[in-house]
Amino acid sequence: MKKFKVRKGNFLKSKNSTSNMMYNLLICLIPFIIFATYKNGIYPVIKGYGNLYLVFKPLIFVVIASFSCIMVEYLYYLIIRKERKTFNYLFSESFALIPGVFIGLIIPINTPIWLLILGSMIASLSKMLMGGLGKNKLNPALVGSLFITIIFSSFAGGYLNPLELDTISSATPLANMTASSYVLTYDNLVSPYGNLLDFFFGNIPGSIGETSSFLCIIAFIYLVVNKVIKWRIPISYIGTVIIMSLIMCLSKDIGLWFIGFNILSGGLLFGAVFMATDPVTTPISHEGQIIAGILLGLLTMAIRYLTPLPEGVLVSILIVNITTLLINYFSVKLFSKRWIEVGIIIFLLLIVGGFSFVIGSKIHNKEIDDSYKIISKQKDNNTTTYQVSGRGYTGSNSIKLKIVFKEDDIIKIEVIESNETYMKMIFNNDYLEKIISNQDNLDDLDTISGCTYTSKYIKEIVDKTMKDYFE
Amino acid sequence: MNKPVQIKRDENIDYNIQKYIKPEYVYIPLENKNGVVYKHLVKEGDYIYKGQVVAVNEGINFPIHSSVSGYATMGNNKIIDDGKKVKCIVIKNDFKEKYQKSKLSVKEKYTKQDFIDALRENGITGLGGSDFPTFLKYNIDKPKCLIVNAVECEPFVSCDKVVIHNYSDCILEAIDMIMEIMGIPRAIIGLKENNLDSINSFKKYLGTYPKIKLGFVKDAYPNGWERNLVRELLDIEYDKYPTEQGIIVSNVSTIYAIYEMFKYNRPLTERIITITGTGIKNRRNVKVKIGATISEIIANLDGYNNLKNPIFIAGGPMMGNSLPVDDVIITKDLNAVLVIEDDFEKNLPCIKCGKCIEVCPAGIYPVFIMNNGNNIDKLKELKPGKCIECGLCSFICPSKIEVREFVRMAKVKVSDR
Ligand code: SF4
Ligand code: SF4
Repeated sequence: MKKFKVRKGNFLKSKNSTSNMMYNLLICLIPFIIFATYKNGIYPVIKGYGNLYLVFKPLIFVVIASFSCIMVEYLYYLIIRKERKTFNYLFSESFALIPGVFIGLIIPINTPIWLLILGSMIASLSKMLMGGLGKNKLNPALVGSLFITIIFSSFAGGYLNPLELDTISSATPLANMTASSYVLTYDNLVSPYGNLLDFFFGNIPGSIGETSSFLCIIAFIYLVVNKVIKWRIPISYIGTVIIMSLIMCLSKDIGLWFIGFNILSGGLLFGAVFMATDPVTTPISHEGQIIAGILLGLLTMAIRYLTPLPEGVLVSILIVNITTLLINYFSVKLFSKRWIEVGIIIFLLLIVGGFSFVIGSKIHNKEIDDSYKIISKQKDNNTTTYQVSGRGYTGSNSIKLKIVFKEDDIIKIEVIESNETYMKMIFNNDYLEKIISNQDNLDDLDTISGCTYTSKYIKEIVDKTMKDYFE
Repeated sequence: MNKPVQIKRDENIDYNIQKYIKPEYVYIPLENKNGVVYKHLVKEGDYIYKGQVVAVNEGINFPIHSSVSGYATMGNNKIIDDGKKVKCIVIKNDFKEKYQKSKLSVKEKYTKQDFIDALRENGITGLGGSDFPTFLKYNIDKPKCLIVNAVECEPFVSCDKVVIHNYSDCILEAIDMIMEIMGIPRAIIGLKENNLDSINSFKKYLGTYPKIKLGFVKDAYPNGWERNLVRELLDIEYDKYPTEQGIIVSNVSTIYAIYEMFKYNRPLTERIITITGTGIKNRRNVKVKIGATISEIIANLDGYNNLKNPIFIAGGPMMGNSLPVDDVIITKDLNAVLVIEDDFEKNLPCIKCGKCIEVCPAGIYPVFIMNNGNNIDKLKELKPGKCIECGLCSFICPSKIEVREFVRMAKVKVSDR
């Protein structure tokens, strides 16, 4: 008779383990760092704008942030829980570095290093204070980056737009959209950055991780095939955004490019694939995951179009993290009445539809023209002097011009008054003179990169005045 | 419905059946794993014939037979496959294999009632692991279909495959006879689609039986579960038992036992059992006497390999039980014994990934049941009673939590109230 150890349980375990899931996640993030190294580092260097530090900055960013997180957890265990944890434990059992890696990827590349470290520490601390792995209610990386972007928004910020290298930083597409008072035209939203393919491959301003939708899609496929993430969330999230954009398109007569714009900007795919699927802070049941996805879509669009905040992805994920508790509670309550959950999903979809019309009423599908005004018009002899005002980048009536016509030509343009931030660049580029010399074919005159809007609006004001003169 | 899960294992099956049918003692447990208690009918010192009824489940008049002949002794406690220690009738084998005379007559023709009586009298139970008396299943009006379960989805377990390899003609003959007696219009043998050996074994003889078809399921777990099998093969759902829909599901080894019953009209006293795992020197399928002990069989199979952390499992790796000693009685429902290295990993906190929900074939929420372990009201809503203890939740959990054990505990808690 031979004795054996007894254990309760089953005796065959699947290969997939929590640490495997984490490794898979990390593998998917490597291409993002490589891409960022190219976009924010090598490309500017080739064009003569950067230096070697810039090349390695994405990597340095991620490493510093994850190291800070590991340190915080180590110290937390040591001081508060009086346990000395090994690096191996922190790395492969508590996954201390994950929040850091994500922070490095989602905050602007121009964030000062000290702020990055502070944000990472806050992230880790929030995780540990909520009970550590498996117990935290909020996604730690989002807590950290929200801290960075909100509290220190004056320090953070600044992106690189590969199309406008002469300015060190430029606005992200969504910030740009908010600034243009929701005039949703292709020229306003997409053209300043190239075309939608640039959006797709990530040639737009944004943080390291969030810009390349292409890499996000590859990562999504990889993660779903390897059964790492809760795929229902990103699918219903993106689906909701597509439905809402489509309704907006149809009801306001906007081109279908707008759907692409909504999905490909603001780090939506990165958020959907990586942040919204964090297992610990998202609903467990299938119906719950779909509900969370729809909520995410609704919130993201609401924040983008109904609040002054341009970027809605991260905030909406945090909000849905909070509702997760509620969703999980109802998953238990409604276990034997799952049709109610299906009912909730249908109800939410109706809200999605209704909401799209609300948002639709706030947006415009073409330039609003009413701010152009002729203040005075004086004729003596063969010269006519106009004083006109019109909208500029910073608002309506922010540009006031004096335009002098002699016979059939403009002979003089003068800026009387302006609130424009970049008016200096207009003068530096002799833009007014260029308008005069190109007055017969203004359409061919290029705008100035770096102050695209101001130059474009000046051109428009001149154009309208010419129309008035020749009538 | 959740999709079954593929569990990859390459199994080298030795299709020869080794016989070990000369145990020194046999033990007849007076209780089975489902809690059914048997009343013993013999006294200490009685001479017992092979095939003699030694105990009976009085509720349904279902007998247990001795598998050897010899003298009875009483009162020895031994463990059975679920780890329970139960009282046994012990019979010291005199190796004479003596039958009572009357038992040797073979019937030529069965009516339906004859057949059902024979199933009961000969103690046929489900050999797939349920230990459910077979005659109860066949006692229905107008059966529509007979499904022969030859899926055997537990990894490592191969006794059904070996039975098929060696006796496919007998099995087909028995199915044909059952259909004739019971008036069942059709039969389907459910097999894994990649189990070529079994498929070919059947195909060799299938030509003569136009009413018997082969049906295939994916090589995934738990496709051998009745509910999955009936759904896959017939696209039929049922509430509690398939018999509600006029479907009889029998394990293929059970069918073979019925064949032997037809042939010899003898009670079920032997079965084939898989003894395998890295801890076993000579891994194979063995024909054994019901009531013998595993320790004796393994000793006769060259014994154990040395493992660092061996664990002894009665049943397959997914649903089997880990037992403290190898001195276990072979019951009719024990289809395999596994001795393997226990590669148990330390478990981590639940990361709420929802994978256990994703795989659960019963469609319940293992993780919520685990997290609400102390809240009886919530537990009731979560219906842990539906769990079939397949072990997939414990298998899939990336944090290596024994989720099923929590569900089992909840099951008990809920049924206590
Ligand atoms: S053991 Fe029970 S709870 Fe776990 S997967 Fe199987 S049926 Fe579901
Ligand atoms: S599979 Fe394990 S870790 Fe995932 S939810 Fe279920 S119990 Fe938690």
